[in-house]
Amino acid sequence: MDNYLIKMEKINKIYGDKIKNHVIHDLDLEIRENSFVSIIGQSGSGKTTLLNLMGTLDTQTSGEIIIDGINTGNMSKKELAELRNKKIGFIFQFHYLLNEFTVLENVLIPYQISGNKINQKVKNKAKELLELVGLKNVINSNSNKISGGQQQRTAIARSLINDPPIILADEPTGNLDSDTTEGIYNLFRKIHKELNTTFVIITHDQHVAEKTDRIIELKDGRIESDIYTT
Amino acid sequence: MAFLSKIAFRFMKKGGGQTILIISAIAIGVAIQIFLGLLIQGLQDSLVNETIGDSSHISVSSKLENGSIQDYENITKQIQKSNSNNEIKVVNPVISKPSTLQFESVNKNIFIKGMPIDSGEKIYEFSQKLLEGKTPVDGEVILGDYYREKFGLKIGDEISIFIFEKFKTETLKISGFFKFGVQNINESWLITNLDTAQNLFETNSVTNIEMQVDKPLEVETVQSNLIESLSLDEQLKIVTWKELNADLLTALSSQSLSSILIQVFVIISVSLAIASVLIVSVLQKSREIGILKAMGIKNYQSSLIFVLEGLFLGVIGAIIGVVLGVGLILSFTTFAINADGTPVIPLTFNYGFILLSFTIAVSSALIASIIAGRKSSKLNPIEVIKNG
Repeated sequence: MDNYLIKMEKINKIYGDKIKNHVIHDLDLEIRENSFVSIIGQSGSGKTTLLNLMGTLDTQTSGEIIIDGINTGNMSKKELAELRNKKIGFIFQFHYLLNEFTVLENVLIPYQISGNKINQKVKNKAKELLELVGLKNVINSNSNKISGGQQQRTAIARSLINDPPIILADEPTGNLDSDTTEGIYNLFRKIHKELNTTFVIITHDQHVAEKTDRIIELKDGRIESDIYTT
Repeated sequence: MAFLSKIAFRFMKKGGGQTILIISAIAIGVAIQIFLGLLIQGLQDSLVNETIGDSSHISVSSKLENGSIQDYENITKQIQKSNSNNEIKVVNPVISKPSTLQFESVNKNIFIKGMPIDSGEKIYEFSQKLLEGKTPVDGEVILGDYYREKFGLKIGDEISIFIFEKFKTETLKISGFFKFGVQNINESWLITNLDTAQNLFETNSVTNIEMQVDKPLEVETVQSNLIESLSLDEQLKIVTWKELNADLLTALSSQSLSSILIQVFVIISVSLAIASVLIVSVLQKSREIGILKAMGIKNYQSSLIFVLEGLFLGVIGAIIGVVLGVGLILSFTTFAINADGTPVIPLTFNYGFILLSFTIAVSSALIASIIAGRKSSKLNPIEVIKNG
């Protein structure tokens, strides 16, 4: 059964008008529902660009991107923003939490962006997510008063609040020590298993990549290898 | 919206020193504006009041050579009838004619001013200006303090009035001495009641119908209403104090203009301060805005955050500014006082002006914040969310 959550066809991305920088070359990529994928490659290989394209933060020069059955090619910026809010959760190397808000409030932000009012139900859900990421004890702390690992876990809980089918993570542990890194990946696995969320994780850490079910290696904007480990 | 307001409010709250600075800038700007504006208005009002407070604001007079208005009683009634919204405070028919005052070997050219003493009192405030004696009854007259000081005239003395028109001399008794702020009046006015003046000139007419209005600065409205409601014949004209004091008005309007200029520059500099602080705030928050955009916040919403922040800052700053400005002007009128305890510049509390200053401050904060908002709207999330 071909149930693709993300489908990219003949994607090209060229930056610049006069001096053209061809970052992604005729790339075809499909990611099925409920998969756990890593993208590796040297810096400059186009990993982040690819992730930004998948996440509709950037637009392709040519080709088609279909997210959960929706072709993003003809969508307005407003529609794309709504799509991101519902379908995609982002985790970046830096957490970018709003310092002005508590841990719980930060987790609730994507829910509020979708225009909904906070109710007890969603509050409980946020608390459950925070429990899932192991932050039960700091939910009412200010987000700048907790450790780096805790902040990143808050960002993970935040990315899950709207039940997006896809989580895109760009070097999510690049800023963390190895013990915390291990913990975060175990957490990704747990969420993947419990919530059936699809993960696409960019990493330069071979050790981390080996723990995923599929490793896509990029080189100069092309897929160099695509290996299923399971 | 509630969510965006919450973000804006938290940004503002956590802004700390930056927030305090910008609120102070707005507050000081509004305070200066209110203080300066009310001060200049007070100054102008007191200037106008001193110039025309104890004189007629608008007057009906005759174009005829002898200057007389025959049916003044009828016209007075018509004026009072047309005065349904009480714009006109006093109507005072007056005979004002030149003649010569004679006593001992002195001859002085003067003006006889005859009017009903009760309505005249409302315009000229005789009771306050009388240094000695009482207001005149039939056959009596009051004259300037000048005559008491210079010629030693006393209450009860008789003086002769030579009327050129009739080529006759009549005798009147002094009932009091007055002192107006204008020396010319003290030397040249002889005030008596209307009957006495009419008898002197052997007439039933008056030369002017003087009026005082509620709002002297808007006297033209009354003038045009009067022209409309009084079916005036061609022999009569209506003249306002403004037509007689063009120089003063020019001075007042150039003063207003310079006051407006100062206020405009205050507003511009405050707006620039708000805009620059908010733009810095957008730069500081660019990563947070980037992540909010990645999470699905729309461009207009991201700019709305800063517009709302500008609105909050504007409203808080303006409220503090109003309190400060009013406090300043109150302390100015309390502490800057004349020897007799009255304020140097009497305070005119113009609530409309205070509200206007408030509105202008809030609107300019809003406009300034739109500049920051546009910057936030244009922010590209992939440029700010870069690893490393």
